[in-house]
Amino acid sequence: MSTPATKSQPVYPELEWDRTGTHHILFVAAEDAALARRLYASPPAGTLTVIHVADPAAGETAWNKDLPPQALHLAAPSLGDGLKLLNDALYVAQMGTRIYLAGPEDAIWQASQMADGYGVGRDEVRHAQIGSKARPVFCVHCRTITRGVHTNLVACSGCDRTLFVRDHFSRRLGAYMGFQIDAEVPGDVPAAEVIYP
Amino acid sequence: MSIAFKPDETFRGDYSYRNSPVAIRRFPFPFPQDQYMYSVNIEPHTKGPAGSVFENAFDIDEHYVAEMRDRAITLERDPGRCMSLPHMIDAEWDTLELIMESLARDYPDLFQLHRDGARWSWINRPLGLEQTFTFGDVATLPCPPFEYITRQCQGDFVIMDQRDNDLWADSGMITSQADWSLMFDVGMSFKEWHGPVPLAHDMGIFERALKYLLMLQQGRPVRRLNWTMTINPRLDTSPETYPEWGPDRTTVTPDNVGDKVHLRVELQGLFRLPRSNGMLFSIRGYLASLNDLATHPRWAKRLHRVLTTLPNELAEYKGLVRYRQTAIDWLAKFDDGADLGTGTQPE
Repeated sequence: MSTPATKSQPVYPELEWDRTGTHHILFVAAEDAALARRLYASPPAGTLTVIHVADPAAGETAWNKDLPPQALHLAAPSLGDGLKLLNDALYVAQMGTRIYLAGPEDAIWQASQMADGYGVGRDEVRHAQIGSKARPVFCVHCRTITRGVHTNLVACSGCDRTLFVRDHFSRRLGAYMGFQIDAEVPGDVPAAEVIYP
Repeated sequence: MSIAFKPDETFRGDYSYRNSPVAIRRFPFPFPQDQYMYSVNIEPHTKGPAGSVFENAFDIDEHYVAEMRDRAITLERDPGRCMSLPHMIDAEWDTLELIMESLARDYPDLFQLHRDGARWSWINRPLGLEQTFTFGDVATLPCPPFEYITRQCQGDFVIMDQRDNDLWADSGMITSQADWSLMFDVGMSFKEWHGPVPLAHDMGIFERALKYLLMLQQGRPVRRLNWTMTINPRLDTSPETYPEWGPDRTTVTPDNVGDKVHLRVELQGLFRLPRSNGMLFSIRGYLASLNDLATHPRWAKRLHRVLTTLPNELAEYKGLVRYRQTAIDWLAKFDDGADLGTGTQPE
């Protein structure tokens, strides 16, 4: 768990089961064998649904191997399919449901927005950043979100301006803010660096 | 008190905005000392001296009509500058009530409110508006209540919802901001919203401010001043339009610095709202050019010292880096080094 550069940037405490819950939905969009083993070693009481976004070609992974006996494993071949499964699970969710979202920030905050849409409280959702550190970037000029950004500068997929990727993060948009780096002196664009591997 | 409005002045294009000597005299100069640093500088928003910007709950001045037109232009270009999350409707009506009652009480020759149960009649003479509506019934206004009233009151506005021991920026009318985006920040907690501000978090400023504000009582509003600098008298210095105004920062020269560089002061007010228990945050901006300020040499001296000693992180955050030295050099000729004592007074 690293210290955020900006207070709006999410801090991700180590993921633990919320044992006050009676139903649990675990949405995972990246592999992390150590985390899977730790969570599965002491599953919570009640029902557990694991929505697992993974390339089918990847075969068996830690998220489906040692699944606790009561758990239901749903495989999703893409993030879009995973979000649809999550939507269905949220639609039928009962009181006492706890949501766990683990994956790259782009995936977990899209999932989080979906949970918000169902009125799930901030206390009932836990987030863990695993896998790629790539950022979703909201262009403050044209409002397009450019996804999978590994560099401090990126061409906006909406308006093609070169955006500087700030640390300022909006949970509502599920994205970091990007603004035109050369607005003051057009053309004055430094070289981009990979900082979100 | 009657105000001579300047309905034709502009905050874009030819930038014809000018302050009268009276407007300069009442400018809320924010520096009581030669060095600036953050503090939780919150004080009760009680009635100040007649003619001062602190006299009334919401200050209306000679720029009112022109500022409201500039807001309408910005909203026309980008309706996303006014946003309100759905659960904020009670707080919207609270805000409409607070502003209408305050303006009608403080400026009876300009604004009138007649209440007959839920049937209200509102007259805004400077903008030539008359509206009869049913309080609580959105369908009886031409637009939602928060947008309706904040199109008629100088300053930006945020309504914060209070829940889970925090204040959430859940509504906003933001058309004259110091480079922050409502579209991006709406829905944020108090500390998330202020996340990009340097140094202050580590100093515990937001921690203490939040604690204080959570206990704010109805009828006991508070206020503070904040400041930055803006090139040209431009209200819309938003991140959204940064490509439009960012290049202006490179145009400051020793010859035009007195005209171009403006001190921008925000008189921020915080009001507890009665039904929703939300909090209205008013951000009333004032612009004065260095030429304006230099008509009061004490202010020119003070600003010279503040800019000279300002920590680099703050200069960077406020966007002053490209022209700070030019402004300091220009102000130097007013500064004889005399001890100014403390206080913000012009003489």
